[in-house]
Amino acid sequence: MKLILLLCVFFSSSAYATLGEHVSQITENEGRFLKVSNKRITQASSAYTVHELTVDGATVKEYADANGVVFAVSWNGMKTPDLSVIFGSYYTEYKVERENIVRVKGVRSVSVRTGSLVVNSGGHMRNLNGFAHIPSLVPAGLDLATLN
Amino acid sequence: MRKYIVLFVSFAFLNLVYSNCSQSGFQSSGSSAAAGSNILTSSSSSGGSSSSGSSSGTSGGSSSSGSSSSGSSSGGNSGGNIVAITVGCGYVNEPCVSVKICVPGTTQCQTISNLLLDTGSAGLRIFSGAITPSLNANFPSVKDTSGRPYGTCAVYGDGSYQWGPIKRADVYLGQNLASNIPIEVIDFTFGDLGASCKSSAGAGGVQDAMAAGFNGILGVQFWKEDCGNYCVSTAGNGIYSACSGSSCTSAVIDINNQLINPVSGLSADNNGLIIQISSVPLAGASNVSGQMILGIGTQTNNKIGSPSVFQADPGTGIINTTYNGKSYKAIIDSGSNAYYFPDSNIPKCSTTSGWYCPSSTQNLSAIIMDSTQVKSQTVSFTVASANTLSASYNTFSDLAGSIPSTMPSGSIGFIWGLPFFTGRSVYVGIEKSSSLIGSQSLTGPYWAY
Repeated sequence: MKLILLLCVFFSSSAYATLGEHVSQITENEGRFLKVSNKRITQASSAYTVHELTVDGATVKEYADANGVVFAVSWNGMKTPDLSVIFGSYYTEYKVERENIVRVKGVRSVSVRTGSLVVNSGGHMRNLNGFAHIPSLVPAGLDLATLN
Repeated sequence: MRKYIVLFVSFAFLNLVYSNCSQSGFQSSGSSAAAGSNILTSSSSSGGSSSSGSSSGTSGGSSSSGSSSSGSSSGGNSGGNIVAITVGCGYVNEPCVSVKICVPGTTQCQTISNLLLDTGSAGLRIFSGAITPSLNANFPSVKDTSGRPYGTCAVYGDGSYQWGPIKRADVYLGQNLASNIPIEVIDFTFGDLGASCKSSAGAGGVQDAMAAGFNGILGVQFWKEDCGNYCVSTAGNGIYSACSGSSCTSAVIDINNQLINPVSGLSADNNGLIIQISSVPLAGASNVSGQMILGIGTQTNNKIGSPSVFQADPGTGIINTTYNGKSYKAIIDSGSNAYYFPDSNIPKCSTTSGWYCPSSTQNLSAIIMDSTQVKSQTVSFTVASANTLSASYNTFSDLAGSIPSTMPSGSIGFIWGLPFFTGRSVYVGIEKSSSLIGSQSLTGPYWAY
């Protein structure tokens, strides 16, 4: 536990939250990634900020609303990051739905929809990516397709 | 709490991608769909060979290693650098090839048929059930410096994955030999699952040929290796694991032990490949054939035409595509069986389906751009209503499905799947390899067509 907290302090001076959480809420999640570097926060618009992390093997972007609540997260990289970290309390319901999905032959992308979460993922070798959002938390009037 | 699932392309109605083997886990909620003869309602979408179990190829134990019979030419070229392609052997729009694998340096060989020819992944991966057991036992394991055998977890875009040990084999593509290269024998009974297969991939294991629809994958993506330097330097890569007994843990692996694009492992004609598939009428066709020509600009049969070249990003393999005025990250993927792109103006076949069902056939266009968005070319393509495509065919040049338009800009938003390959010569320029097209000196990764 101490080690994890130290890693958090070492790799980041600010918070890393998961879906549905507030960005200012310091969690142990960073320590659960193998490596976190190049953290960057940008104010994309008045509606949201982007918190970009380079984690082991992937880039993760978290999108937080004006109140700092994370309503969406994307990833892109060599491999899919640990979704249990990124999804936080939503991971369990995601996993239940994911396990129900039967692979479709010839299709390289998948969409998983739970009662509160939508996850789309796809890609090819060396570039797997995905996007998850919580529809009820998306700022009113924000077009998700415009997220950077 | 009510929960529900939507696939980009709903499997509930799609026996389209579900070949003629029946599978208990397959959702059958689409059985109420009106009986008809289109590909959405047919239960037997292709007349191709069975995908299950043992190979339908040639020899079981010992065939001559020198002259492969698996790569006989289907076209006018007579070179040994040709691998025949058939389309739809396991499911609609699946490009299929055969390769011969041999225990290194011996004449213990087997031709494996119904391999998915895949430009979306690198490496030869064969289900253990498709290999004669007595032969399978003779392929040497790839081990780390402590003598622990390696396993690998290959994860695909849909989150499906394949796990198994890495072996070395002589691999014949046509008559060309990739000597003693690492391949994956997909076998979920090997050790425990590798890291990526255990965790982030979630449930998506494709454990046998019946579930997959093919006996394996011939991955000819423009990477030399599936992982590359990342797995050389990062123990927690999740892709490669070293196994002590049944305990497998993520581990670094030398570049020479990683799965490679078998084309890059050839002694000649190893700088790329050209995929040629016949034109397909809009109504569809069966028995569509083609060929993979090995090498680019190395033989008379691969110095053809003057294609347009599009460099891909050397890190991600991504190119770009502009559609309806919007720019998307894009891939050209023979392992995807349709065009996939977002367009909210084209109706889907049903609320739970991701296939497009326009009221009339759509003539569309998009602009393919290289990774730096300097070079561009407009590509015309056609999208038919999926529910008008006849189930008596297994190859379609006008099948398309949706990708959610909500994906942010960094995600892949346009997939040029198998229909893009029909009626074209598509060049795959392997990374870090130089090739000559006309007077153009090129270095992969690139696409040309």
